[in-house]
Parts: sequence; C-alpha cells; structure tokens
Amino acid sequence: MVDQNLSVPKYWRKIPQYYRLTAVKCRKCGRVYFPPRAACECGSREFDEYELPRRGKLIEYTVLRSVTSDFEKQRPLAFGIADLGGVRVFGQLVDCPNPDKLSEGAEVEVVFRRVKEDSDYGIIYYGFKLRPVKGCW
Amino acid sequence: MAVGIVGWGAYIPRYRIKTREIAEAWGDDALRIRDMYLVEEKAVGYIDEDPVTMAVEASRDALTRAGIAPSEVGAVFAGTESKPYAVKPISSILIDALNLKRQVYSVDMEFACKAGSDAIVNLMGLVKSGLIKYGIAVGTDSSQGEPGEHLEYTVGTGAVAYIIGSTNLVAEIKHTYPFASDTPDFWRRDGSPYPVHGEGFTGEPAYFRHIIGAAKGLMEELGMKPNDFDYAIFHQPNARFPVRVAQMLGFPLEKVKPGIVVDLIGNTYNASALLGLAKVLEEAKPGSKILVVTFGSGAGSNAFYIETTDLLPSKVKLARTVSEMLEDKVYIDYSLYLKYRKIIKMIHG
Amino acid sequence: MRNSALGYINGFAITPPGRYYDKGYRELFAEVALKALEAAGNPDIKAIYVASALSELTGEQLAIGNVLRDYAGLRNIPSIRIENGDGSGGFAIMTALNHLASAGNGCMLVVGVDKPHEVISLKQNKYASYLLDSDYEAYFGATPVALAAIMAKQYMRSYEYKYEDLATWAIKMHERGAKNPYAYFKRAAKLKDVLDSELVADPLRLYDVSPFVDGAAALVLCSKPNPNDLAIGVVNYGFGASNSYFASRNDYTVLSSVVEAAKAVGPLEGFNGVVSVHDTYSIFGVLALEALGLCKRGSALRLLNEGYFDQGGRVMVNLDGGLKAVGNSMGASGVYQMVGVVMQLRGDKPFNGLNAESAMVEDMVGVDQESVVFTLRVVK
Repeated sequence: MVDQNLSVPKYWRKIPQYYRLTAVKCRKCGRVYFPPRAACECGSREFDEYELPRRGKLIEYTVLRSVTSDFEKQRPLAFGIADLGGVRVFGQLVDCPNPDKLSEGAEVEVVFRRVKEDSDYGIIYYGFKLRPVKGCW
Repeated sequence: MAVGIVGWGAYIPRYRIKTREIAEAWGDDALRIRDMYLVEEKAVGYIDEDPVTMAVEASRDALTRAGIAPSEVGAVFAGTESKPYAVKPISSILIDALNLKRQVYSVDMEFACKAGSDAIVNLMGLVKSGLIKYGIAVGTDSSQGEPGEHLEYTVGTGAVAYIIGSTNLVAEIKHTYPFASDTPDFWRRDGSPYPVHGEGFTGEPAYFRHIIGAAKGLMEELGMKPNDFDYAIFHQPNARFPVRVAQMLGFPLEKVKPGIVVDLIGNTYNASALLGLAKVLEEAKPGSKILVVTFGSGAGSNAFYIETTDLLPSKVKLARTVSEMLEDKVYIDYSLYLKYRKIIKMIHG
Repeated sequence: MRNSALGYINGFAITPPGRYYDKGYRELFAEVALKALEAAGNPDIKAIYVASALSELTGEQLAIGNVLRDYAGLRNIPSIRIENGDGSGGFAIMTALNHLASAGNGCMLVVGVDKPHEVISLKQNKYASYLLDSDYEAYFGATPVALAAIMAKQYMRSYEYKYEDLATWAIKMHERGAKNPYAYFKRAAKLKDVLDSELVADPLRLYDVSPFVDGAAALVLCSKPNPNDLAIGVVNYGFGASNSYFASRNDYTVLSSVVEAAKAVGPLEGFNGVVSVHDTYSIFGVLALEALGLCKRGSALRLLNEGYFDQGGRVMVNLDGGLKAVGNSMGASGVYQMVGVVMQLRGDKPFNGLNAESAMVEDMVGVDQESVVFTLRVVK
C-alpha cells in the first residue's frame, strides 16, 4: 500500500473543530474555550458543545513565505487571528493577495477549504479558514 | 402532498479568467471563440477549493434560508462529475460539515451534468413517501477541461444546494418529467483526467433531443404551453445552446435570459441550470411559473415545473445571492489558472 | 558550609555550530562529552542528560541516550533524554540541577545535541512547526516565525517603532559574532543587508531569523566546585509557562512565560553582568529583555539602539552573538547559551576583560510556551 504520511484518526477526531469550530462552554461559569479542553479554569470539568459564530473581526495577520514541506505549492500563506464572538481563533487567511489593504478590525467570515493532502493517493484534509469579506483587492 | 424547495444556496468562487486569456495561450482567435460560445469569462476556484468545499458553502446557505435545524434533515445527496475521491462520497463529508444527524440517507450520484437534479427528484420521492422530512440536494462541480481543447473555454466552477421538503415551501415542484437514452455524446473513462466528446454530436442527438423531449413531455402531461410560463431555464454548456433550444420550443428570449449565468461563470456542470434557477428565485415574484430542464451527457434530461410561493421574497436576502457572487470577482491569468486548477503536473501536492 | 549554588560548572565543551554532513548525533555527542569530562577532571557521573529536540525526527533514533553513551565509551551511566523543543537545553540543565540536589553530591553530564541539517529546509520548517499546537496551528501550515511576526507587528505598532529599529538586533548580533571564533555567522551586517534580505513572515526578514545549525555543547555540573579553578555556580533557576494556543493570549507583545520565570528566579532588580537571551528571532531577543525586567515595557528596542546593552555597559546582552550569530541548534541552544556566559564570566577568549561576576540565561520553548531563567555567579 502507498505510504500514508498523514494520520487519519488524528484528523478525523478533530472534524467537529475543523469543520464547525465546535468549542466547549463551561457549564459552571460560561467561559468558552477554543480549542476545547478538559478542565475549566474555574475548576469545573463539565462542558457543553458550542459552535463559534462564523463571522468576526481580524485582529492581526502576517504572510509567511518560508513554508513547510506540506505547503510548498501553496506559498505564501497568510495567517490571521480573528475574534469570533469574543473567542480568538488562529487560521489561514484566504482570498486575500493584498492583506496590507485591510483595515484594522476588518470583517472576516469563516469558510470551509482544503488544508492539505497526502500526495495523489492519501487523504485530503479539510478545515476552516478565514476570508476577509472585502477590502483585499 | 405538495413537495418543493424549502431553501436554497449557491456558491461561485471569486476568481475569473477571460476566454480571451485562454485563446491567447493556445493560438485561437479570441473573438471567434467568444462568438461561438458567447462566454466572456469563467469562474475558477482557488487551489484550496474543490467540489466538496463549494458544496459545504452552498449547503450552509441553503440551511440558513430554509430556517431548519440540521437535525431535521433526513437525507443528503450530492450530484457531481468531479469528485476529489473516486471512492468516498461528498455527501458523507457534508453530513459532518453541516452537523446533520447520523440517521441520514446519503449518497453521491453521477449522470454527467444531470445528477444534481436527479438528487432533487430522488429527494422528492423520499419526502412524498414520508421517509424523510427534509433532504438536501447538491449539484457541485469543478470540472476537468483539457488544456488546449475547446471545452476549456466553457468549463466553470460552482455549486448549488436545494432543500426539498413539503412544508414552508418557497417554490413548489408541481411536476417532473425525465427523458433519457443511451447517447454517448460526452464521457470520461475511468482513470482518465479529461473527458472526450463528439463535437457536433453533442448538439442535436444529445442536448436538443433530450431537453426538448423532457420539456415537451412535461408540457403535454400538464396541458401547458410556453406562454404559460414566466421563466424557462435550461442547462447551459454555453450561452448559445439554451437560447436555441428555447427558440425551438417557442420560449421568447426575455423568459430565458434571467436564468442564464454561463456567459459570466462558464458551465458549472451539475450546478448549471440549478444555478440559473437560484438566480431567478432572487427576482421572481410569488406565483411565478418556472420551467427548468437539466441535461446530462450520456444522455438525459429532467424537466421540472415549479411555482413560487409568497414565502419566497423574504428568504432571498438571508444569504449570499447569485447576483452578488457574479459581481464579486477578480481576474487571473492563464498561469495562475493552471496552478489553481492543478493542471500543472506535480509529483506531489 | 552550605553550597551557595545549586551546582557548579566544572567542565564544558562545544563544537562550533555549522552543517555537519560528515558527523552524526553520535560523533558530535562524543566530541563534546569527552572534552567536557576531561576539563572537569574525569569525575564519576551519576547521569547523562541528553537535550535534543530532533533526535527522532532527523536522527530516526528513539532512546538516543543509549547509543550515544555506548559510542562515547561511557558505561553504566543512566541516560535521560530531555525534549522540550528548542528549550530542551535549559530544561535539561534544570533537571540535572534538581537531580544533583536530590543526590546531595556528585556530578551530572548535560549534553545538548541536534542535527537539523540531516534534512532539507522545507522539512526543517515542518519540524519547527511541531513547536506549535499541532492540531490548531501547525495543521494549517503555521511555523513559529509566523507567530513571532505577529508579535513583532503588535509590538512595533504599540510602541511606535519602525522596522529599521528592529533591524538593529541583527546588526548588533552580527557585530558580536564577528568577534566570536565559534559563531556560525562571523560577518558583520549593515542596515542595507538587513533591509534587502528576503521577507520570511512579514515584517520579519531573513536577518531576523536565527539559522538552523547542527551543534553539540556539554556541561559537567557538580555539587562542589573544582578547587583548582574559578568556581562558576548556578545560583538559582526559575521557570514559567504561558498558554499554549497563541491566539488565546491576552497580550501579543509580552513573553509571559519569561516574565513568570524571571519572577520565580528573582529578584533581578539592579542586576549587572552578562545576559544571554534566546533570540530565535530578533523580536524574541528584544521582548526577553523586557520580560526579564531589565528595562521597562516598550523600551528595549530604543535602549538597544542607544547601545545600552553593549559590552562595557551594566547589562551586556548576547556577547557571543546570540542564536542569531551562533546559530539555532534547537535542543542544544540552551546549553550553548550556558557555555557562552560561563566563558564570559571566566574571561576566556574572546571574552577577555569583561570583569563580569554575574550572569543570566533565558532559554525559551517555541513561541513563549515555557521558559527557564538561570542566574550564575563567580563564587569566591
């Protein structure tokens, strides 16, 4: 069989987070965590699932030119930190060749995209990315 | 039981390439090409977009317009001819991307460009029989156009999703009529990267025969004439065919034009006519009578008679509209086109 | 009489960092281990601590201590491999000091060794990305320099600095490296060189990024000093942690794990002597100075540009050239830093005439994940 370089289970169990930004909300104090975690800072270990909103504001960004072997053909990669309903999330910025044209606090929406694939025969990883609603051109 | 559309969504990627760019790369006369197909430019997805990602975007918008919870969906069927996995369905990824429940019927369908509409027909059956309350039909394609071959001028990228149900309809699907045969006008062998077609053979024996067969069959059964319809939307491999078939059937141009999108985004295959319908739903008044006839090579057509309801206008602005997405565009050149479409031969992704 | 230090550095050795296509983990380890042991008078070693971030990734070796020990001819000494990314060195030293304390007496051998150049640059970047959150940061293609770039942007905007101000870090590190025979980059750099260099992650350019190097550095840590030599003691250490997921942090202009570590090792007010900060990227060097409390928040870059941290001042920073000029040997980097300040305290060439009696070493994991800060003194 072809050598599988990307783990399937490691991706599959994160599908709720990668596809739907499923965070956890502490039942006791209401604090929301993304990425999810096992225990709240208030001490409680009981959480409810909570999908982050798919619109937010861009806090900061950068464009990475020195990428890793997995992303060689996708360079450069733009990354941003977005505030989605009060929760800060890190992700790739897409559909934005000129991010320097963005104003601070620019509106972004969450989109569903391919992240990478394991050559021509292995699995395709999908996940969320951040797309500035306008202003990148 | 009245069955029809509860919500709909569409997705057209942002990038465009002008047919002129492609003609220049291959030494064709750009004006002659434009005249042949009446396609100015076509939509192109970014490297990280594919029929799955577009299906997710269109379906999410459809759910928003339908105003139903994902857990109420009982089936998701995806029609496509450009699946990223030959074996592993788009519909399975949609289940988790849309947070549908596990108890859901799901399958991908293939009948060239017709499968998206086949998904609609099948879901109508599941709804009518009471097996499901709502189902999502998706038509999504990022189809393969062989570089330097004429299909490259018209192959576009896009997706559309329709939620079929029997309550809170924005448009009722009052009648359907299929017409199919073994007509090899266009095909892609297993393992082959690009399709092969019969040029002129794709016209009369395929596209025209089946669309006319389905349209006439439907109108006869209903006792309706072209005058009775407000809109006629046909499958759009280019901008000339739907206009010609409309003429042949007796539909005036002004009833066909609103549903034509191919001139700006190319042939989106399984989305094609259904994208035209999505655009028409954005402008149609309640009580509009719409004829939609899809076509898939191989070959077959599904004709639908659809009537819009009072619920329609309030749903239009709840999500991205086709009109907005047609305007939201950025031009790329042929080199970026090759890179985004992954046509450049790589040893690894 | 109680020891005034947690441990004494009785022997040390380094290999000049570089690209060693002709030497593997074993050869590099043996070179420095045996030299350091000899310098310490070949004492009995209770344990070997191997600090390495990449031994599985580029050396394809688990439990590396076993093969290293064998190759160096050291028998029956337990070996413990410490991995904490590019902070492995500092954490190995910390662990060895703890072991020394519980043992009550004896010596420990700490060796940092890593070989990024067994693989090509794109692979090095991939392994560097393992320092970030694998599932939520590296998954999307992020590497540490991308996050460092975000910190640089926020810092420069908050305190109204221009990129030219930040470029000074590289210039000063190269200046120091030019005088250091074991630095990887021995050529001085001008502002134009920095500004013309390629963008890595905007605004950071090639000169802002320490180069990956293969390297090995060893320390012999003992509970008692060598009576025949200058006694350099590790007086204290402190360590701190920040939250792992970068976006969740409250302030992207502070290295909060270094702040915590400095608080734990403190008090550091009025410190004067030599300092080594872990400048994986120029901005990390700058922010570390503020986090250590050596200057007020927002002022480090200005003071750097005024020459405040140069040789001859009260607080002399990265006199060896830092990770920028010496190189980033990943797991070994913290041990190189320690050796550097030891040489500075001893006045060994090229660090003659400093007359420094105290030193501080800050080693950091990844992008402010965790840090350990050591204070050292010449013990009379």
